[in-house]
Amino acid sequence: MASRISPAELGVMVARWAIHEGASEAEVYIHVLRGYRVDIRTNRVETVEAVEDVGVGIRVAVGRKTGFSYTTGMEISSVREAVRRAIKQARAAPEDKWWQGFPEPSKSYPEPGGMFSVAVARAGPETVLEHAREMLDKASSIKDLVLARGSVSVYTLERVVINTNGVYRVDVGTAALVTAGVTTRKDGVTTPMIYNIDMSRVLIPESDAVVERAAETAKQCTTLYHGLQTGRYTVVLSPRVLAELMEETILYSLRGDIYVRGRSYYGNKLGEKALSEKITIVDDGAMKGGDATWRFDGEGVATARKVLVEKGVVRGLVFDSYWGRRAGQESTGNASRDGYASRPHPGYTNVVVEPGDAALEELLDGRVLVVHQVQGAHTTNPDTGEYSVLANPAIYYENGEPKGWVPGVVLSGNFYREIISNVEALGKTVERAYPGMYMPWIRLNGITVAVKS
Amino acid sequence: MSEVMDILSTAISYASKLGVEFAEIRLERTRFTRIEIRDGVYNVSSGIDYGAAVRVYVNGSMGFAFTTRIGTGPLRRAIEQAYSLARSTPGSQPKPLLFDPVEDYYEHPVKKSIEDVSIDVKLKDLAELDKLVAEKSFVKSRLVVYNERVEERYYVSTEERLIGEKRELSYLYASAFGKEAGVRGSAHITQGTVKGYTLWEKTPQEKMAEELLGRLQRQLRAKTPRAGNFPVVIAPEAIGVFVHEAFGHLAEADLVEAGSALQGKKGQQVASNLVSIVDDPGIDDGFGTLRYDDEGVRTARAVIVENGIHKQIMTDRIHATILEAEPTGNARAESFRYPPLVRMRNTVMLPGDYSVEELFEGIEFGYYIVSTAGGQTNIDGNFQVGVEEAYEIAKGEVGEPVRNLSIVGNTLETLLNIDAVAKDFGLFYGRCGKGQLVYVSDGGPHVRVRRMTVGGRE
Repeated sequence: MASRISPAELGVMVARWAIHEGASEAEVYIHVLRGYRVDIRTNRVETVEAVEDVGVGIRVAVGRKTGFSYTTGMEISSVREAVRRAIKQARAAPEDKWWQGFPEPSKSYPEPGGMFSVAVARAGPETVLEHAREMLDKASSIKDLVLARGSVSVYTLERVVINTNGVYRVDVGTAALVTAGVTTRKDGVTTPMIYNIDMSRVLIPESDAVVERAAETAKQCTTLYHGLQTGRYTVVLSPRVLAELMEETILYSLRGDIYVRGRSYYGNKLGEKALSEKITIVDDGAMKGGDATWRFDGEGVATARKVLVEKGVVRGLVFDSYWGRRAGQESTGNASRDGYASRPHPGYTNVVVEPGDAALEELLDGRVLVVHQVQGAHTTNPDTGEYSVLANPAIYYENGEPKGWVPGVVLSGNFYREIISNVEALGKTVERAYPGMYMPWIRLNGITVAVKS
Repeated sequence: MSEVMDILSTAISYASKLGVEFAEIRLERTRFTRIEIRDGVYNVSSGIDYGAAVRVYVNGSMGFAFTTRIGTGPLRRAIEQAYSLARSTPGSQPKPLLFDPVEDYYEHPVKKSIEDVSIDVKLKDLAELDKLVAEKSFVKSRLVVYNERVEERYYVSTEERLIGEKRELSYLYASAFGKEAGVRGSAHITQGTVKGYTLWEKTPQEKMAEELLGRLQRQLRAKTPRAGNFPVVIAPEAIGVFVHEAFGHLAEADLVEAGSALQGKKGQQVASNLVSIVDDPGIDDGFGTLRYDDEGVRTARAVIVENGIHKQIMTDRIHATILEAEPTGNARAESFRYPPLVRMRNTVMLPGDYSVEELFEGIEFGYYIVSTAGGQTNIDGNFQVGVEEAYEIAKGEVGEPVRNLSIVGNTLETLLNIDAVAKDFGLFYGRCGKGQLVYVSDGGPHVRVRRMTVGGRE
């Protein structure tokens, strides 16, 4: 029975079958995800879910030709079929002249800590539901608030990477995530849906606090402010907005594959100052308790802390082993996988933008638009850095005083350029923008703002 | 197929014996192939997604579990798990709407099955497109992605509904990045079909390359648009994104319940009387063309707006009960790993009477929006659509290309501001994310909006 074989044992068997079937090299990734999740929709628990997602991804090389296949579950027959499929594809594919094989084991692996807790691993559906009810209670205690969407989930993930070059790695981690989306309806005005999250690897975050934070922002939108004209403004972006715009621009250009393919904005700027000196960006796969912390990446290479941008100077890029070799260097431990169904590709672990020294009053000084969320960051052109997004909500402040929500504000510009010359200040503290993304608030001047007439 | 149905029937009868108020099993077997050519380097991937999802309703609570092991034993265990989750957590979720027994199996017809075409042929066809794009000196980097999936979905419920449906999807995405005289730009195109291996028949490689390269060249020569409020003409590809993103989401029953801008608007005028919008599962060759949804409900056309009046919303079983609305069969899940949500299928604006040329007449200065990079809406009815290809309109004529803009506004205000709808029509292919990704189509005719906020830079 397949269920009696451990994932690591299965991995070894799969690698052997692949060689037996004609592969010159093989790599096996096994992912076993177990947990519970409660979904909330419009002030009500919608579904209580058990999650058990198990699958095997197999990458093989036949000479310099590669193939990838995956299967759900760990049934011997379907895994064998996936091995054969991967090899068949490799044989059909054109040769990749840059292929240099799978990585070797790393010399040492980090021990980051704070990535597993027995309490989270043992949390059952009742515990998860209790946290969901706390969110509902909190929401019903706030006047005019609708908890439109919410979720509490806990899970344990076991990751196994084995390859025929001697990589044999097993890691187990836990995590708990709370999400909320709220709106407020007051005097015929529906505020935008405001999202908030919290996450931890070792305990279930205080779920009512997530609702409370979202509700505070929503409340600021119940007063409308009219009278702004289209023009240039100083804006203060929330960590989330900064993360979204960075992801589509700077983090795209700091990817090794984008660099090798000649598309990186920083292609000829390595070692040079190409961002404001206020900006320092770190990718740290071994950060203690980080949302995306693991001992090894999707190819079994040790994770590590890397300074990508130091005071505006581009210091490094993120690579998996394939793109690292194409650039003539080692993998940086940044092979990322979207579960067992994808090949590894260069990606990020925990991304930290280091904080600045501005207190809240300094960020809000003068006339500013504080942008909590944007719509359409994904429509940014990563090759040029051009963006045009709806700030929803943007709250107008005068000398630290909120004047109200300005509906229909569009921010446009070129983020690559603005991050060089328009950065005025970064906040003193770093917040979780998204799972694995830690950023401060940022103040930018001279941003083009279109306002609905 | 009968073997699968036997397993499912046995499993569901076990759920009935447990005394549940409602239970369903959704089994899916999807075979994927993905071919990527990244600057000339090929990556072929494939996989089989095989699993079953179980939902059990009891005590005002819905339990959900799934398994990747298909057999009577594992399915019984999944039912027990979903049952105990629901029973141990009594709630206030209303009972899903129930339907009559039915037995049906439907295979969407294809011209030539993608499973009958060898990987070598597919590689050769893609290589041809890649070569045509690579030839141009201003192209510095390129990507061609081909995705195909053969979906088999089976459904049984305690209502004695036994359903099977099979279809084939193929989807092509190509993008190119270019540099010319220090200016950077990029562009993309997509194509899709559910009729088997017919992508190249729909748009041959030469035509696809020509369109992509044309878009890229115009990007490289485009000027920066003004920021402000202008009249806008929107082409079918962009109106599809607008209809889906800006409007469609507001008509999804779960968002209507949560307070979307369409809440309480049934029977009222929400758009100019030239506007009719439907979500139609019966459109020929759409990514949302389906006979049954993922709750085993027969799909029906949802007439969201008819001549400006809001008629229907899109529902699943639960929200049809809560909002006392007609079932439309809009429940869809990304895979067996997720419970279904209210999702769109093929969302389109219906054509009107104007010729496309008439739409431009009399516009002193405005913008012509051709293709987009996607969009996003918020429950409050404010939308953003990011634009990839656009032009100035000057004195009634299409002028120079512009880059880096988006159109934004309040959806209902914008729909009321539509003063001309052309008689042409186009259908487009893509995926929509709402926590889960599903394949959808959208489209419509050319449309003119009197005034719209354009996010430009000058």
